[in-house]
Amino acid sequence: MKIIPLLFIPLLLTGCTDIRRRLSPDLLAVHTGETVSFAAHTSQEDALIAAEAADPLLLTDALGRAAGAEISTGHLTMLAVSGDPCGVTETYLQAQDLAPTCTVLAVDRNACDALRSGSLPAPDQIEAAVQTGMLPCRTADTVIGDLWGGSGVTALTACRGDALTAALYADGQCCGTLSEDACRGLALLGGRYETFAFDAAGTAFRIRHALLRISVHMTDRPEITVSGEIRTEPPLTDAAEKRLAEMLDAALRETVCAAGADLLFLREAALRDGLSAAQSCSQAEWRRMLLESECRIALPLR
Amino acid sequence: MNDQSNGWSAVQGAAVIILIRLTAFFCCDAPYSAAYALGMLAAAAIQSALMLLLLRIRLPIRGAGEILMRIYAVFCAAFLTGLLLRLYRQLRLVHFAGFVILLLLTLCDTASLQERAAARAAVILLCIAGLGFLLLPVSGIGTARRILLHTPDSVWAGFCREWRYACELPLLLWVRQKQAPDAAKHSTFVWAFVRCIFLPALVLFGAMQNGRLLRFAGNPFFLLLARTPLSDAVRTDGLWMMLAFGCGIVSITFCLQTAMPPQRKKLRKFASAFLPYLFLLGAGAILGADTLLPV
Repeated sequence: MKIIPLLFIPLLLTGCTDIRRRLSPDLLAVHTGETVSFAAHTSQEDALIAAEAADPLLLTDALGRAAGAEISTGHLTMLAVSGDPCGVTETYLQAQDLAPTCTVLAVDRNACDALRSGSLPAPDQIEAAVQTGMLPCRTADTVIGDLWGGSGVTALTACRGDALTAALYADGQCCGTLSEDACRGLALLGGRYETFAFDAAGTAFRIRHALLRISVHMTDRPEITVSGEIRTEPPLTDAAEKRLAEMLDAALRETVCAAGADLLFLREAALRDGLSAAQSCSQAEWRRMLLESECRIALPLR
Repeated sequence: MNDQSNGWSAVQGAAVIILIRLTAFFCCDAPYSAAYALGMLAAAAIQSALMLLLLRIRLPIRGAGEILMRIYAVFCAAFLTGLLLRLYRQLRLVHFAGFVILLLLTLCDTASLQERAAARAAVILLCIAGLGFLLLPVSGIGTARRILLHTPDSVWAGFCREWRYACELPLLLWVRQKQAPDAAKHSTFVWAFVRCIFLPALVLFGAMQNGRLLRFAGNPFFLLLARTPLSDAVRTDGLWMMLAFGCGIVSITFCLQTAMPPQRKKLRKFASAFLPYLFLLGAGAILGADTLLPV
């Protein structure tokens, strides 16, 4: 049993260090251009640190020099990026500078200036929008998962003026902004909300239980069908069902049919449903197939 | 299962062997996917069948075979050390000097230990790991997505990866030699169960959490921990990191014990005398790193 004390020695390796020399930003803004600008907010001192570097990977060095402290990015809750949000997210996730559950926000103006002026939405605001089904959950891992394993198109939570929405990105470029209905439809299909309330014909409905299934079948072109059952409080009426179908339809139309985006694990659903071409085709081919696909919502939803 | 008439009990034998694979599992860089789990299952089934067949032929490992086994144990210890060092780098832990001193301590402590000590420690660690693994599905059931089991990946790659990390296979024969026939049979069954059921199931669970991040250049087990909501509420990654290092150190200890010659009185004396100095050196290195060097 002499070895037992040895087992406690790894306690010494768990990173006991002088935290006075370490800053952990909770918000990070990155603007990519000819040079890369960084701005970080640290909750420890409620201070802003700004720096510039030639490459996004030099983040910790640049901010560390500016702050005179070691920068640890493990506690980031939101990464706001202007320029190339997908590239920056991918770089940081691969370099393990970013937790996979960190929220990524695409900003249409300089993200560093927006952070300095206090015009960026708070992470809690985005979280509340996700919890109430107003926005789909778009964390770093889902964004990069779509880029690596989907069709190369992803959706990011986007800040357009003061409004929060979702924007589609492909090849590092923004290729569209989703409507409110499409955002709600994606949230409904993603299933990460806690409460989902909507209005139909002057009555408010709250979803109690939703079990939706996406199937992908091949005829002369891929057919994507959403079917399932949604129970609401008060019980679903024809008008409410139509409203839900509109949201789901907008989500599929604006992401799959218009941009060829696979945000809903369509490739996996196709494989499950026996479409073997989804295994071997390239991202570009899969995107082309999705662009040609036909989407439909199978009614009734109750 | 408690036959201790001839060396190690069934549980001790199984624990020490499972712990080697568990260390490799913690440090492995293979991405989690259903195809990987399937490949893993296929490889483990072949390995288990092979080992269960070998159970029937009880050939004592002696002479040249014993020397080969001792050399293999050294390679195994080096392999596990390499895996731990890589995990250390991936997790960006501080105090590298402290880590090296810890490994040296293990080496010295091993030389002064009874052979059974590593097996006893392995049983304790395996119990802790088992309890931890019970927490994972409970905490992550809400965020697991069944559709992600269809993420495209190669079964063949998973099969090959499993062979690459199955360094404990020959050592199972060595452990078997130290056990009574019944205990050896039981420990081989426990080992085969963990390999064929438990680890692939854990990979499947990870696949349902980690999803499409098959090209993620990091540790998939710690990615799984980051994705489960339990880690958000209570930081459990520190516990798992300690467990991974604990498993690694006990596994290396076992390998080094296997590698050592039976008559090692001088080595023991030297190790016992040197051990306190190493402890001091380790503490000094860690404290020095904290106070003198830039972190």
